[in-house]
Amino acid sequence: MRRRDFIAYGSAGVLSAALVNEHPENTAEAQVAAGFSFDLELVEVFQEMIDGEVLFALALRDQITRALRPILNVVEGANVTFRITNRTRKARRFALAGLADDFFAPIPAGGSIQLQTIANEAGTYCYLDNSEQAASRVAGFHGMMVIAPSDGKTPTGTRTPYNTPTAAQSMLFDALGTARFPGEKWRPDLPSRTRTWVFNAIDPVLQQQLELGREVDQTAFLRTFYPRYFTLNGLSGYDSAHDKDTVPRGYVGEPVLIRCINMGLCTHSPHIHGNHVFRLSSTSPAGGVVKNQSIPEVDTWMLGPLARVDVLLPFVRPDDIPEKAWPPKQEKFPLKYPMHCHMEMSQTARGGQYPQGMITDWELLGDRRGGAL
Amino acid sequence: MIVRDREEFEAFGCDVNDDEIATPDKLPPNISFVWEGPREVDIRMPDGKEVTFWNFSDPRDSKSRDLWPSKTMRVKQGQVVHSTLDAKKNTHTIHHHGMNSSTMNDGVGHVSFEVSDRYTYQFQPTHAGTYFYHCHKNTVLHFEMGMYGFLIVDPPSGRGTLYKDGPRYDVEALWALDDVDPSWRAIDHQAGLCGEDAGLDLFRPKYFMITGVPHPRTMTDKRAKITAKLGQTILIRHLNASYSVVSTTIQGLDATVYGFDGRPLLHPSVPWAAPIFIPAGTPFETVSAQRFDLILKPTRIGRYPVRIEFRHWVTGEIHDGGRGICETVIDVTE
Repeated sequence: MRRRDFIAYGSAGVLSAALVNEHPENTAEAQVAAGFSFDLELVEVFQEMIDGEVLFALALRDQITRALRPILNVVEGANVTFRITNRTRKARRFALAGLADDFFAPIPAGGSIQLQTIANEAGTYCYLDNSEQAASRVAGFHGMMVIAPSDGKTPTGTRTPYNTPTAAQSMLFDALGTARFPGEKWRPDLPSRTRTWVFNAIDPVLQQQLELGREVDQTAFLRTFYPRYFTLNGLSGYDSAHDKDTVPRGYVGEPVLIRCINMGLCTHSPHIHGNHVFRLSSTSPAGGVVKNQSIPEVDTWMLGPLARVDVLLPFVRPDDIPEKAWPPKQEKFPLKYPMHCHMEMSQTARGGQYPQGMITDWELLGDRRGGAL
Repeated sequence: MIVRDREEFEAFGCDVNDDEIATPDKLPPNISFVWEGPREVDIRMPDGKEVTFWNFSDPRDSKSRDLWPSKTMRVKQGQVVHSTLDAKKNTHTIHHHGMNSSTMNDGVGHVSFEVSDRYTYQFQPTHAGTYFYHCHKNTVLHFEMGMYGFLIVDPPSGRGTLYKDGPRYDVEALWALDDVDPSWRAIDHQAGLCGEDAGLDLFRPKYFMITGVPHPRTMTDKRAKITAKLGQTILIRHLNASYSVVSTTIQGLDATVYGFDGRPLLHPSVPWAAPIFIPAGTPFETVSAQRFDLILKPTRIGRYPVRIEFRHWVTGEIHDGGRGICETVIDVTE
């Protein structure tokens, strides 16, 4: 049997060319012209759960950085090349939900393949292995792919995550940094202003079945699936609430885009405290990105299996703190608030240990940067 | 690599801070509530079995002792609200769900504390709409045991208008849609917190309720059934208080969602939002904790059936072998 790596903790790495405009010469046009390529490998690993339990898992890994389940960042319109080596014991088939679902050829066990596609439309996508229907996806062969817009501006020039944003999206992003939302516009050039949340639920019995190389009974799969660990970016509870790449942190007036994908089989109910969020996008039945024509402000949003939803956390003053108690004097910054799934079974680990499940925190570091702290 | 601080890790769930705390930045309130809890309330189910729920009760209102869901909090937009928890048994919290309070007033133990004695939560609602309050300790169990109630924020003009410059209503219904697993009643309130497998990830509900009324009494009980006169406008405050994907279908009447999670969908302050039109007979889905404010304007007298399905979060099948439903009616009379 091939040696398997032991992965203790740590969420996904981020793979991309430098973010657009981070370097003046690295324009979106230049990135599109150059295209993107990723050297990846499908691997079998062991991962430690929040309670110390060690489970077999599957994963895609970057061959150079060795980041597990990397976030793949590309730009709309670019050619994207994947060079993938399958180091597992079975043939696998790489897919991009919403972009190239059944497009690519299978990769035999031990084999390598080069795949190409075009990053059609800006938005949040996911990659997965669909060789065993949902089983290997849930067992860890999944991750996020982000297509940044080549332009992404509203008619008045405000940056957004979408090319040709809807009128509703334009109005909202234009309103950021005005009296309605004092502070800054959304800043795609600052990594801290975007977070990626990958939701999943893990059934240890399924993980063991795959470790032993047993076939998964697809007809009974959903009815026998019994998730006992619930993860956000591969982490749970205390760990996901302390992971710097998962936790949004900032001051009032520093809005953060949060890209959510659900790679598991449960329908989740992410609920955020402290601020409501704006639901910017959703997923069409065919898997495409839906840029919302109406943007509700919610504290809870539905995230079904394979759903991809972008929300904007405005980082406004928590608006139900009494006016005369702001900024707080006796209570100290940072103000910390959870985001957790409200289908509360997801807040457990192996049947207990609340809240060591699908949760993270976000941190409001202070009133406007440079303001009263 | 995440470095775990052992003390912090324990305080995250197993050994949460329960020091006595004074409300920071406390102001004189415009309205105040006191909640004792939990108190056990037994409800007889249609099969004759009694099922225990936990509530918050108001010591100044003896009728609230046997209410489940707990007594509704009703406040006006702009009021400074004090909501005091007197934890009579063990430690608990109150999270005023949808209120964007300060951390100490948010009722979440791992970022603040749990209440072992008394604590006064403070907030000042800025948006009229539908909210709820619930215990946020071992929430998976305490919420299922029923430690919740509605929190309604009226606009300054009071009842009758959903929010300032929003739709008016004549008849108001509060629907808390809940699914109940009786096997969880045997579980200790602290179960699982310090590592043991309490089975809190295996939820198999057997009873299905609208605002404390089990199906099929929902067909006749006034807490579920809606009666309106022709020409009246109905507001349904629709809360998914379950652990199911809830699918609701109203036959014969169009509905429009004007409020969502306590925020308006039609107001000059939110030009990017729009009401959601739900044609008669079209199911709509919600997940746990979502609130829809539905406005209905019947144009004909009649009896309009409502069917609510509680679906499993993985399989999507109706719970309890297809019995996981609630049915009720909207009667429109002359």
